[in-house]
Amino acid sequence: MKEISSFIVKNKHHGLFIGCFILSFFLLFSSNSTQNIELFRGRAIDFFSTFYKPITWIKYSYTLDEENALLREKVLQLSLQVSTMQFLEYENQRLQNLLSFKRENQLTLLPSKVINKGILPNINSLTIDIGKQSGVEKNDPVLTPKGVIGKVLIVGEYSSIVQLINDINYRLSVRILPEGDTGILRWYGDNKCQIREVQKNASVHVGDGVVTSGFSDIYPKNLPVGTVSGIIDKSGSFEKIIIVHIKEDIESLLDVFVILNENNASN
Amino acid sequence: MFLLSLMRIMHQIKIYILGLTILVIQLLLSDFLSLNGIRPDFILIYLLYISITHGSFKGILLGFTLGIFSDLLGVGTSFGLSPLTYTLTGYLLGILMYHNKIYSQLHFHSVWLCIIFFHFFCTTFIRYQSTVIENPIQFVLLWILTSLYTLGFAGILQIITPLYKKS
Repeated sequence: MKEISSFIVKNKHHGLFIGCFILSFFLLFSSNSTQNIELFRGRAIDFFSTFYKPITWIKYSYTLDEENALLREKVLQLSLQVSTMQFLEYENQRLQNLLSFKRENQLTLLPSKVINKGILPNINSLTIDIGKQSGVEKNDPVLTPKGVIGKVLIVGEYSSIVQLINDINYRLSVRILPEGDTGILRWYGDNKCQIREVQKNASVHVGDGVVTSGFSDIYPKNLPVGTVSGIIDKSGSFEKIIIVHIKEDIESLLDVFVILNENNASN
Repeated sequence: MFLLSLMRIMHQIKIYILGLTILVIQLLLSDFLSLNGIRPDFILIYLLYISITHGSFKGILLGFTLGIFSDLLGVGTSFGLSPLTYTLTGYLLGILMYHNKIYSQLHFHSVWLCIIFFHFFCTTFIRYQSTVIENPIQFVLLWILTSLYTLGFAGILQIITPLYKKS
């Protein structure tokens, strides 16, 4: 008996290692389906967002002067554009009425600030300062004026975690303009993505725009994604691989928009 | 008597309290120290010191706990990856306890450096598995640079408190 207990004490670290290792494996392969873990993570980001906020405030104060100057310049540019746009809008409205064109997308954009970009050595998620209280739901698309950057993965009461486009598990159904060929986009590295499953006879050129296809339930169609920067057309392959340049610098994100679900937007 | 037992408990849990403090520091500072999307891993540096000075048992417990907390606070997918890799690293580093008397200084440092590189290989491999096949050079670069950035900070700490003497 004494020998058994001394054996256990002597090898307790091996036992603990096996236990922790198995538990981690279980968490790694079951996390996507376990709602309790998601709920717990939602609570945790709510709690820890109180730590992020002072730091975010300092960060924003630090860049305030620079941002003000930039915004003044932008205001001037935009006021010049507004006069042109007003005329275009009027003309557009008139033509739409003539054609009885019904506008398909009535998007409700909710602005939010990035309060944290995770703590792991490589950035592939971020925390934003809006949650269930603002009407955010799981899988709501997240974008910037330059294009789609991800989707909401976990929603807390006052904050949410966004899965970024550079996450290994992120996929996006896209359409290449102007021809309209479709494919599945995924991260490639160095602000570039790959579109797979594009037909061999598709007519794609460098510089073509890439937008969301609208085939998925998550993303409305025609949201900007990026531009074509390369085409790989191997002779033995059944598909073309399109390289897409993402305009937004993922690392320097400060403000993003969440597209609210229609039901939540009306509330 | 009460004070004595309280002090004993405090002595036992101070490693974990300090670990959580490191986690908060990582949370607040890592964004400022980010270089092209790569950030230092202070938790790993702390785990390195604790495992080598206190052994595998505490290394595993600390690695698993901090891993769970790091996954709760950040990354979108792969929940469970951090406890897995930190547990493994804590276990391997803990084996090095008292080995400064057996190994030469060069041997000792090579072993823990290999373990750190192995840790980063596992995390980078799982997070960027498609890159391994499509762009192996980029994968290797990402792995090496992420490891070296953290090791840079570990190197600074080495000057202040050498691991070889702490073991």
